[in-house]
Amino acid sequence: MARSTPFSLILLLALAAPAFAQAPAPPAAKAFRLSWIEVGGGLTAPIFPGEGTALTGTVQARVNFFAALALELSTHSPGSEGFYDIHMRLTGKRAGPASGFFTVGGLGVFETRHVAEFRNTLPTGDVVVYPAHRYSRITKPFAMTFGGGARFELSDRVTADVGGEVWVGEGTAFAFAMRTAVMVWIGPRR
Amino acid sequence: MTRMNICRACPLFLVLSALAACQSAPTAPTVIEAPGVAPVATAQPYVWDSADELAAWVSNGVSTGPVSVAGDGAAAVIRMDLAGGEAKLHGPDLVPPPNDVQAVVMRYRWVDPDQAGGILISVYLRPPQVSDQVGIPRLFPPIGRDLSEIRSGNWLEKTLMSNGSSRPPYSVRYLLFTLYGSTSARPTRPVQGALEIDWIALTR
Repeated sequence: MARSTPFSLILLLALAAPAFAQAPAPPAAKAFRLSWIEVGGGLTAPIFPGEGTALTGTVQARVNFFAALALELSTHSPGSEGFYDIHMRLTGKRAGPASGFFTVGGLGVFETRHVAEFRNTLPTGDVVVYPAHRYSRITKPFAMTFGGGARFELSDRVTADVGGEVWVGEGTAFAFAMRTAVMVWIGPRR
Repeated sequence: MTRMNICRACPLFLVLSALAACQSAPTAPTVIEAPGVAPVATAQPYVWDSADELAAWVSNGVSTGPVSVAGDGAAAVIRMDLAGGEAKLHGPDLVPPPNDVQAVVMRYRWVDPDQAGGILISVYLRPPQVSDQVGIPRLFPPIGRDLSEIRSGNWLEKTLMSNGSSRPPYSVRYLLFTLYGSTSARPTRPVQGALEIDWIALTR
């Protein structure tokens, strides 16, 4: 139950859209239609104070429920294991080709790997065979993330995100992550 | 963005968060059973004494080591050349498997005993079904550290018992003896003598 409390907060924060998300569009702004789905990738550089930094590739997908509200899932992984990041994203109105965004969500760990067959020979000569299989694990979010940045429209279907996040676990900010990603709009427009 | 639209989106986020904790279930292991030994009729139930009965332990294609059957009739013995290394005596299948075995009794002696050596004797009681979760009971003769008795060369009749890791009664499909001689002599040399087993019996 203790793990579920932060997500209530996430929802409250998501519902309380910031002013930039509520402001009406300026009359001069060009009307554009979002896609439901965006996919893309980029780089994430988490900095762990006192421990060092890392640079990982990021793959992410975004579902745009509305122009200002989206659900985003990212994986920060050098291979078959790493962090995942699921968060709500509030995007402000465009100012030229750019718009600001704010994210809040949770951070967890995922892992998937092939486990080779293992044979255990008992003293009696019987052999217990553990078949090869794929082991997969995903934890519940163990930390919250708060972030923000700017989105730049590179073309009709391509945007670039530049921003940062702070990762907070057990009441302490244990990492800061710089993020950049290129997203492509796919599928029908909303 | 209307309140209704927001409410429509939030449950999806809740569901995704709730799902975000799972682990693949371990694959159930399978067991490749060791080769069995055909059952042999015995004059007394669960007692192997005659040459034919003892031969079922030795000449079955499964047992290994420097063992043979010597003698005839009730005077026959299983003979193990201790200098030849470890032996594994795989007993015949018990059909049906008894489920009330209390202990294993055997009569044996060390012929031409090595006064610097010892013999490790143990027997596994193989249950009808095995898995990685069920331990296989192992019994030992109550010899302890005093080797003078076994080194005397006299016939010994001993009840093999658990060292505490298992308790009777046992369900047994077959017995598997491991026999090994060793010596503390320096310089190192093979242990001398032979182990003779006159008979083996189960007590129920």
